[in-house]
Amino acid sequence: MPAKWIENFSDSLFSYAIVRVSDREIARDLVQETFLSALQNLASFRGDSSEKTWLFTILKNKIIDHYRKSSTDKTVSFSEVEGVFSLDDYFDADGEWKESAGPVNWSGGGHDDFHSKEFHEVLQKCLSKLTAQCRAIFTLKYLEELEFEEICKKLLVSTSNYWVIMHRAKLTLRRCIEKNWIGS
Amino acid sequence: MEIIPCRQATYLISKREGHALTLRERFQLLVHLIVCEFCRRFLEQTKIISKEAKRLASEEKLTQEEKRKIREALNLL
Repeated sequence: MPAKWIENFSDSLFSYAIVRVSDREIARDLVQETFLSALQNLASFRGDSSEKTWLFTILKNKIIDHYRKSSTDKTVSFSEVEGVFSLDDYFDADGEWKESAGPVNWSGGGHDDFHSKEFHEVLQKCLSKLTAQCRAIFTLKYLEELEFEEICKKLLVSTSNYWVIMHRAKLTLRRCIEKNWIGS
Repeated sequence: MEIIPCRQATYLISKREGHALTLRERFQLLVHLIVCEFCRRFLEQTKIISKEAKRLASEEKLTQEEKRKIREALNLL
């Protein structure tokens, strides 16, 4: 019943979206757009799933649209990727880990409770610092659990670019977490 | 066979998850991981990260004001 949607579903849709887009305003807009599209397409809701499932399906598509828009915005991805990320920050001329960038041991020293709220907060913070493209690919793969072929299709990214971006995403994320988790 | 550098090994680690490695690459990665502790850590830690990413949840909620705005937008339809 549309009259009850906001009361019943807006908070759960919102918290789902904010984890994935790392921006309060964008998440709120996505929830609003989800309700708008649902109202406009009410006739196509056949009731073979719950209203909640149906709304989440719409939201997931809105999130993917958002990713596609933000990760194909050339001006953003160029300055972000070129300005912030360089493989040279991680590897020397021979391609070996730089002394300062090699992964340190995470176990021991009370730093191995990865299920904890604290670790999840660090992870969320680091995810929000990724470039739009890295975040899109990482989120679709590990939060939405889509196959990489599907992600490439949805984001209009070539297979070889996909691996390059995923490599960047993991190097950046891992280092950010190490800095904020072990370093703290 | 030459040992591949860490830059390539970490790239192949991601690629392996998509089952996209050639037989040669698989072997190269395997050999690299045997000799390189840094890349073994990279592999372990990125596994932890992707596993925990699945469990991420937010407790943030919309404010009453934000809900009111959404309600307004829907009423315009």
